[in-house]
Amino acid sequence: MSNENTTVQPVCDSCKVNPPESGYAFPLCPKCRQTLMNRPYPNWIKVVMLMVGVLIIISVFNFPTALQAGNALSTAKKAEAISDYQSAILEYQKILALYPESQEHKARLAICYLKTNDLRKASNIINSIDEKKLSQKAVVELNDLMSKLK
Amino acid sequence: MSIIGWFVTVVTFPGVVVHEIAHQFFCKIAKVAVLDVKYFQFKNPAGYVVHENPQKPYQHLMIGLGPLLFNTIVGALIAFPAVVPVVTFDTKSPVDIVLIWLGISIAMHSFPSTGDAKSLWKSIMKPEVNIVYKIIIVPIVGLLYLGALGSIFWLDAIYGFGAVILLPTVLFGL
Repeated sequence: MSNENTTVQPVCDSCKVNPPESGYAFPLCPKCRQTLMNRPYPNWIKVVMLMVGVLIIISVFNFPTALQAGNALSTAKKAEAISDYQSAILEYQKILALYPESQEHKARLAICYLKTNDLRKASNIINSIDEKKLSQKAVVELNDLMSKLK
Repeated sequence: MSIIGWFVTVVTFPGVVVHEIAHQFFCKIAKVAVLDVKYFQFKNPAGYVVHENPQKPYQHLMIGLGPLLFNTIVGALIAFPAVVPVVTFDTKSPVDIVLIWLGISIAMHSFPSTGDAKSLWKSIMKPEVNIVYKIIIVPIVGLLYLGALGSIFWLDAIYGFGAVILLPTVLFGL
């Protein structure tokens, strides 16, 4: 009767066939390691990535409008700060052409018209404003200017 | 994870998915084998990537830091065109709302998990790692650990909102 000392050869943890590559803590053969390094994304992830990609494309199309309005707002604020209300009026008109539902910027336009004594245009804008959507600052400023006119 | 925390994770699930995609992507860049991936599950952890132990500290750092960069940049870029119209110009377009939700969801899952941070810390503190490397990297890993722990105090949500709002605010002074 022989007493065999069998040695179990280590095998790749993935394919269970090939010997593992030396120098790595986790036993994988070179082929399986290469496959797992480049593990593919499942199809549903690719679909999700595609949907996000579509949203990003829509976002990129909308971006110039947002950029234009953002730049106009930045310029308008600087113009108001130095009391250049005519320039501010032009910028707020650009904003409202792009985002006509922006109540806060209708208010800012009205304020600029009041400060340049263009009461007719100010009145037209004020009548179209939904006061509930205005900031406290805009309400106070509008009321203050209108009370000075009375 | 508390019930509120679980609910927030489910609502912001795109961020979890993108976080795991980022880990997997940086494993590919670092040439580290990925053994298992769960992009999202209704359990704790909500997602994971199991990879073999990287041989070099820089590989571990790339894989650990990957989601922080990837999620922040992707989240901020996706939401950027939508933040300006919704926050500043009162528009309520459904596409803009979805983009902001997506952007915040992705950005708020930028932080490595405590598991990621622990794993990164252990790899940096090995005796064979160069001392100069340790001096540079230890503070970064420490901050990541604090960030991961800070999610208990909703730091990840604050970060998500901040990342999405910050870029338009800085650019346009909004």
